[in-house]
Amino acid sequence: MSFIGFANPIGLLGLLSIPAIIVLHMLRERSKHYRVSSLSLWSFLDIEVRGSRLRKIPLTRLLLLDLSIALLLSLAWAQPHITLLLNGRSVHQIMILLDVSSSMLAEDIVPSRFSQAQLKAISLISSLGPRDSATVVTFGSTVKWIGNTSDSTVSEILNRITNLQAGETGNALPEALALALSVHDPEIPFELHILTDAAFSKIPSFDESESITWHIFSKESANQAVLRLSSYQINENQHQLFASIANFSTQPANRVISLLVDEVPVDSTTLKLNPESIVSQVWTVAGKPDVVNVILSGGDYLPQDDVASLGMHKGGLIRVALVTDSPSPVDRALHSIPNVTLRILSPREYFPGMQFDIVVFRQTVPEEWPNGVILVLDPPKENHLLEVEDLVSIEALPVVEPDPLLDGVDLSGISLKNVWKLKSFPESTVPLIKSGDLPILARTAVGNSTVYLLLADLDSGNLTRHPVFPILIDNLIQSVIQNPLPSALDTGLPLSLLSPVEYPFMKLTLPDGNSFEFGRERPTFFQQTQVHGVYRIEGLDAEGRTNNFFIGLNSGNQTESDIRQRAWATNLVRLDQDRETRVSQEVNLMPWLLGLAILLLFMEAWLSWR
Amino acid sequence: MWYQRISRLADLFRLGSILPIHDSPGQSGVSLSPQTISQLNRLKLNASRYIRGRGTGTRSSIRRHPAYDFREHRKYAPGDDIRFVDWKASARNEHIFIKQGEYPKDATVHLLLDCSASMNWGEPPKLRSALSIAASIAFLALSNGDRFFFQTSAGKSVQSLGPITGKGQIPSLFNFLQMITFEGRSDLVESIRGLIRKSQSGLILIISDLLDVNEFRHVLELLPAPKWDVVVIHLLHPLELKPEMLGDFQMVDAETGRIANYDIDAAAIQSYQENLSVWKDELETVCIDNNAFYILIPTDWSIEQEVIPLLRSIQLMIPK
Repeated sequence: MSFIGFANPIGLLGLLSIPAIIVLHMLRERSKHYRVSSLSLWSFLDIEVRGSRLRKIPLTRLLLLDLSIALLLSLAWAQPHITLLLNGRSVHQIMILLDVSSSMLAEDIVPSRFSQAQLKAISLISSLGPRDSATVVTFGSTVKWIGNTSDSTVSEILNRITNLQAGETGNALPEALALALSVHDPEIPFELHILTDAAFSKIPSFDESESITWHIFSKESANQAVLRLSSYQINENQHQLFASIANFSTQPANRVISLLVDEVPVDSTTLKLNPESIVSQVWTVAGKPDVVNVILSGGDYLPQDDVASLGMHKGGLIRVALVTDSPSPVDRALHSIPNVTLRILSPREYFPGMQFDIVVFRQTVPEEWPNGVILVLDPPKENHLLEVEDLVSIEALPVVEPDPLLDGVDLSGISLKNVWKLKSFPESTVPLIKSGDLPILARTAVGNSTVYLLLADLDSGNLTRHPVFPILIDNLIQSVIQNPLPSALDTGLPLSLLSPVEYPFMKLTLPDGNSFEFGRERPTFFQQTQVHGVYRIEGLDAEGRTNNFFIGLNSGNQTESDIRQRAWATNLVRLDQDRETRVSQEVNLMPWLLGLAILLLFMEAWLSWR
Repeated sequence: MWYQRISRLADLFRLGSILPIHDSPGQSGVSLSPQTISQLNRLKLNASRYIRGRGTGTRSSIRRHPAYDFREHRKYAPGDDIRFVDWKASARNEHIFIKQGEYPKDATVHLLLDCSASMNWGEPPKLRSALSIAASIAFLALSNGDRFFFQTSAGKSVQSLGPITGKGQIPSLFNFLQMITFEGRSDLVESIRGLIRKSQSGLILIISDLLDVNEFRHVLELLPAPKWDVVVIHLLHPLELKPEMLGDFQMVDAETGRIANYDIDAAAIQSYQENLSVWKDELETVCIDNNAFYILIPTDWSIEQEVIPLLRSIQLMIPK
């Protein structure tokens, strides 16, 4: 199906020249006076037409050529374009949501998923008709508005799409959908194109009636990644490095893992990675290095997450007390966190006056909350601080509330069976994870204490065996650390810059060598963190001293390193294929019409000359 | 030489120009190039049959009369001039013989030129060719001592010249041709009647486009053989023979001014040529029926290279 539109319909007024041309030709024919020697030679003609009769239109070649040229020029002036609709539907308004997460950097589709998605977005915009509009939004850790054809030219938007860079961590598709649906004009036919690899677990809620076309750029792809790299300061001259290496595949894999300290290789080990498993690797590093790197050699489809970097800050140790008679497996998670000195105490040994930065109570609570940060695990039934009723089973899916404590926490794959139910909570309690109305993780403030209540039954379910648990513990530790900068960060997340009060001048050097200098007027965060590697910050304080900070921006994480397409997207792929051909193709006919008119002009000139 | 004088005179009257000059519509322009004159000097009109004129011509005849230039003898008869007695021959015989010489006579040549407006049609007009042919024939007649009559068939008034004889009349003839106008309708019948009143026989050449077949038939009936030997020179313009026109035309008759609108297409052109062929055949038939000789000459023919060779091939012009 197709239809013809005119970008400049006023050009059709040129068709009024056609009757004028006919009249001129008739007048010209009428005035063709021919003197003959004698009419007797022509008297045989039966078709004699006397002057008083109406004259018929002289259908000469010149008249036909003139009419054709006038018609073609008029149509060309009107700038016609033919719209070819392969599936019989017009497209007037297109929303493009482009996934810029790190998993889109996977190279299982040549040259990469993101490059193909860029090409698809460019193709969609290039096929727009003159009356159509397009909006482009990216989603990753956040939603970014790229542009709309109503306020920018198509070439500008294409240029912006070309310059986009993937590498963010997260899935802000729900927010992107909300943004796209909020700006579209309901009066105009609307199509939403989502360009993603579907390598995330959550299906954003959307109205099924909306015209959504999914463009899935993914294959069944295995991947191994360094999920996490952290350090633990044993003493003044020794650090213990802890790395988590994950195999996101149904097949075992052997990868060689290497450790580089200040870019000097110090160790190399072959790891045997079981299917769907995470292994830990621990090194002890002497001295005070600036940066350590862990590299997985060998290839997979996402090389960006085969490297993890860590800036070795010279900050102090975090004092943590684990008060319990059953330290395992909590102690393992605490041991894995860098810069933590862990002291395990039985409830009898602990008393509130002891100085710790964080106190973790398991299966016990103190008589009163100590100052500082407190984590309560498996609270006992009988205590006078918390009114614990009983263990209840979890029926609804856990929902995670946005909170810094839960950064990087993905509950997919977590099986929580039972949870401790409390009769009441303090007034300032904020549930962070809840199943229905049942809080699983909550935060409350009591006096000078901040109390985190993890009410899940750790003995049932797989929470303590899942990487989420050390992440959760680490987030808790990081909330206490007063370091000005993190030692490592996921790519795409905003990197907080040094305070201009303490450091009036600072210089940020990216892994690719580009550097940015900041004076007192500087943003709070640096947003262009899609490139993985070591970001170096040189801060010049008010006294003229230079402090160097190294931050590792790592692509490897639980969210992005599993680059396999999720099961929920299987049906969407079919949907995508069905709807793929609904894109309109518009052909501008003006150059063809002009060319044909010029050809006819030459033909008329040749006929006249002949 | 006399013809050099003529050439100079012809130059004066544009006779020497190769290309005809048409001064104004209806006004004639006469042209004979020096090459044409040189060619004509070697020719004469084949008019032996018509030597019935007076004894002032240059043509030989079977008639004899007493003369010093001996051709034959005859017996003396009373009344003969004794100056022409051949005494020697009489002395050898019993009878007195008179020396007989040739009795030279002239031929009578009539030229009837159609001066209607239709002859002034075309580019160049047909009258250029008509005047050139008329001048050539007149030149031959006068240069060979024939009696020459010239008559027009239309114009403001029917104009005539003659009889004139001798080369000395050539300038006046060309001067006359120069003054002829081509306009109005032709009336060949009336012109022929006027011509018959002046002469009873002779060679008559009719130069016309012969657009009226019936009139032409009547003309030939007025010129019966053998008293009259008629040569019809039919002039047609190339565009009359093969029209090149397509479309809707408002046609104007050159003679009558009548206007008619015709749609001319390829089929009409084909029909025209078929009708033209029928018309020419009819004219030729009329000529044969009246013992006249019919010649069709397109007006774009060259006098030197095409017209004179054609007239020589039909023995109208013969070497001296």
